[in-house]
Amino acid sequence: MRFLAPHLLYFLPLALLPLAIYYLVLKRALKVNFPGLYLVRKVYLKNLRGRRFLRAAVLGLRCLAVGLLILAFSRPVLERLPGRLPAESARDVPVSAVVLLDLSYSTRAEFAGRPVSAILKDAGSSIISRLGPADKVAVGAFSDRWEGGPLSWEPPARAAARLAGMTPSWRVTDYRPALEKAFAFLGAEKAGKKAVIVLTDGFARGFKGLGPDGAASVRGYSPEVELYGTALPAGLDNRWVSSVSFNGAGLLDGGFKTVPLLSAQFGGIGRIRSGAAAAGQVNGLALRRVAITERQAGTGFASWPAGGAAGGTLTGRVFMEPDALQADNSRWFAFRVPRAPKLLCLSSDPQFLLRGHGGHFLKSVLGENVTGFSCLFYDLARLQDLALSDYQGVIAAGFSEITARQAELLRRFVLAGGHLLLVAGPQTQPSAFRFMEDILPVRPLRAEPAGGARARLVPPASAGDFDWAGYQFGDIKISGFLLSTLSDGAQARWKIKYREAEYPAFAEITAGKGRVFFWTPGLETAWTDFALRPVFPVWAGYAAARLGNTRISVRGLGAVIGEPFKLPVSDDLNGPVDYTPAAGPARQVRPANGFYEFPDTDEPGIYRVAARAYGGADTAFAVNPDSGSGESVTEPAPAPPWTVLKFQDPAGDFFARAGGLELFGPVLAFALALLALEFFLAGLA
Amino acid sequence: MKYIDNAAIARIQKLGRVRIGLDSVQGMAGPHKSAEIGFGQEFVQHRQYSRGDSVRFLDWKVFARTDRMYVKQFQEEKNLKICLLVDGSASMDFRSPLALYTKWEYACRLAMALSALFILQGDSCGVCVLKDRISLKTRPGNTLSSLEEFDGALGCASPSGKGDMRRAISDFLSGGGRGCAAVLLTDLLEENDAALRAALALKTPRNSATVLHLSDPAERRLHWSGRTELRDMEDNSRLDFDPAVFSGEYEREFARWSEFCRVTLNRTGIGCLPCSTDAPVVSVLERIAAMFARR
Repeated sequence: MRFLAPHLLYFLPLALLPLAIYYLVLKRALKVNFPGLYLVRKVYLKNLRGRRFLRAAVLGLRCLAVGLLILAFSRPVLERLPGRLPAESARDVPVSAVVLLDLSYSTRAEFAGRPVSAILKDAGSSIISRLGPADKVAVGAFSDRWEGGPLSWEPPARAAARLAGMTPSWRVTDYRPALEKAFAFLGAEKAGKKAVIVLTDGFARGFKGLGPDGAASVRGYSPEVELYGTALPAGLDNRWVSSVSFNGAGLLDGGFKTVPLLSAQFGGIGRIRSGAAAAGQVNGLALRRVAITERQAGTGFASWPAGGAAGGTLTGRVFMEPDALQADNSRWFAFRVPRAPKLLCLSSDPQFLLRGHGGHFLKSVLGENVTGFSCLFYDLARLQDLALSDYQGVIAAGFSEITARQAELLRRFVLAGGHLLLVAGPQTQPSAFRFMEDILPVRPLRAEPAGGARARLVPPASAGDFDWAGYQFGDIKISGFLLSTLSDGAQARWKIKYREAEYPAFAEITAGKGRVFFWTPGLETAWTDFALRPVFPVWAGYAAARLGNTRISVRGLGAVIGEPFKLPVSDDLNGPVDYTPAAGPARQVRPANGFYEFPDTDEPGIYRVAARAYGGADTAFAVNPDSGSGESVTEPAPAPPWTVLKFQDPAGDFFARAGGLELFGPVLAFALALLALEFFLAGLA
Repeated sequence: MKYIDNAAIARIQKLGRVRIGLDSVQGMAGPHKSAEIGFGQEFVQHRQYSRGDSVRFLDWKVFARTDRMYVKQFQEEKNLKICLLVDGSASMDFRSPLALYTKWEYACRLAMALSALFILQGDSCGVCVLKDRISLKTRPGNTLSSLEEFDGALGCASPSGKGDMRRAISDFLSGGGRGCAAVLLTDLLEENDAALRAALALKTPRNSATVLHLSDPAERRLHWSGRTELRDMEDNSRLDFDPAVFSGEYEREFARWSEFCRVTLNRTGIGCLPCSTDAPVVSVLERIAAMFARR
């Protein structure tokens, strides 16, 4: 049973109006003084039982009649039960049907060994093929937008052929645009039964656009248009790649080393099973197959080391094992990794680079290009042989003395715009810095063996992108440091709290065009275990970023399918560029208003942009379906806002229901008959 | 006067003499038979002369024949003492739009008319108002000035409260009401016919009784329609219903009950005359006179 004017059902409570009137009138009864109720009561009680029943019956009939009147004008339709009544032959009114095929990428899923899109097209074809000669049909397709041209009535054979030729897109589902189009089209039809048949998988995501009011909220909605739809009888087991990220200095598997790390996040993991595997490729090289680690709420992650990306574009794809919906099992990515600044680390102590010494820790973090910085290690004695201008920053550590010549070279380097980090150590005497006191941020006083007194490292509250919260600084042991005072104009970023006083730990000062940094606790285990702590790699990245005057920030280049990708004009990319979409011919794109706009992103993949002039750099961007849309959640909607056709036989079910009887006349007649009966009985009562 | 005027008295005077049908036992010589043997005009029996008897009534012819002294005895004729008992319960305060007066006013008018009738023919007459007790009792009188006294007394009274006819009549009989002709003006409306049973007590060998059963037209036939709440004027009980629904049946029930009252009273020797308050008092008076004449 359904209603063509269901909004009138809101008036159904009016059926209780006779009851309300009855009690209202009872309260407003005429009050009369009477000499004696003795005889009246006698007669009243004698007749009470029968009258009471009659009066209740009249009241009930009155309510029922009003209710039926409202029901009649709500235009109920009795849906015929399939098998009980003939289907097509029973239809006395021709049907004008609009068949809408869902082309969202969730219909690429497989159900019972067949693609859902094929199942839906078969359902549509079977309905179209059973339409009678007086019936009319129009076919359309949709994803989150209207796919295809305007709707028009067409012969069933052509409509079925057109339906069969449609292929799923990569877009998500939204029923609203399609329903608006169909309602508007059917609104022009004057007579006959009107129906919209939505051939869809019925997953919950598509109904978000309709809101809580369902189809009634769609523009042009008319209750006269009967709404039918399909839905898969059960949800599908599905996992998907949610996102891919690149970290220039990530910790691999919780280890000590920071490495450029490619990480992928997955959805739907918990619902399936843990231990699923993922693999991928970066810049044409295969990434090894790794197990997906399950996280909370059905998500998981996997990560791969991805070195060698500095100063270029990192492109590739992460994919996982096949499941019901393979369309979301892989995700393309493109990251632009900036060129790493060059650093130079100088020391005069031969043991400085050995295990357990400061140089070893520095090399393990800044060397090998693991943080995105390129750091070379040289003997301080070779300083005059090096071209310091090739480096953005110099670290001087593990020395006992800086000669006047070396100090002069370093001073020139700093004043010219270079950055210098001086790291104290147990072998470094305060007098070692005497030739460069004018550019030092601290005035070294003495090497202070902390001994029994407790010295504690105090980090800054925050330092730009670096967040020191969560590290156990109280546990860091400091048994010695170069006790210093701050120079004029210098700033102490880190401090050491020692004997109720604070001393600079990481101080910096501007000298000329450059800056000089000083680390007083050193990195030697003889003084502190700071280099053994988890915070050290982060500190090293922090120090390197200050030395290189930059932070290695990786930029992801990506767009959602169907949305044009925009890139600003830059030094690397300007003038006309060659644009090669993932599918389709390459063409030239020129910037407009400071931006390049790359259209036709209708397929997932890597879209390449090649600079043609001015020595620009090639780049690329990745296009993927919208992973945040929920399209991958293949759970059926609990209550679709249409009559769900039986999955096994949608055509038979449709014709059984579309041939339903409209009960306006019979219900109205019945209501009037009840009113007449009520009128008669009211006379008796 | 409130309940009677001179014109009404003049009309009553034309009705002539009414014999109420009770042997008078008290009072002055009058037009009614006395219950006692005395010295009237109608011979009843002989009685042996005893000392102190007046020799005026010695039957000389019997003495001459038998040499025994007998005196003749006659039916003594005396004026009748009549008590008009007016029901003063709250139910008597009812008047429908169809009636001329409330039942109380009608009863008062009727009582005054009857008083005038009886006084004009020389009878002694008194008025009592009965509620749950005797709430008002006038001094008997047989002059027209007594009428003014009765009228003033009735004018001061008003119907109220729940009636208890049994106790009121009991009080009446024990308080000197024996040996009089009682005329009860009432609607007989009491639960379980208590008023009817009380009226039956009025009839004793030495009393005659007449009941004037007053009713309002709306009492006999419920003329309201639609949802109506009837409130009992005596016990304040209520009944919500549509009177039109039971109108016919109630009318039959009232008529049956009214007839039952009449037959029951008649069977005991009590005259009963149904009086509707929409009828003129004089016409009722004529019917009363006719009823007395039949007895």
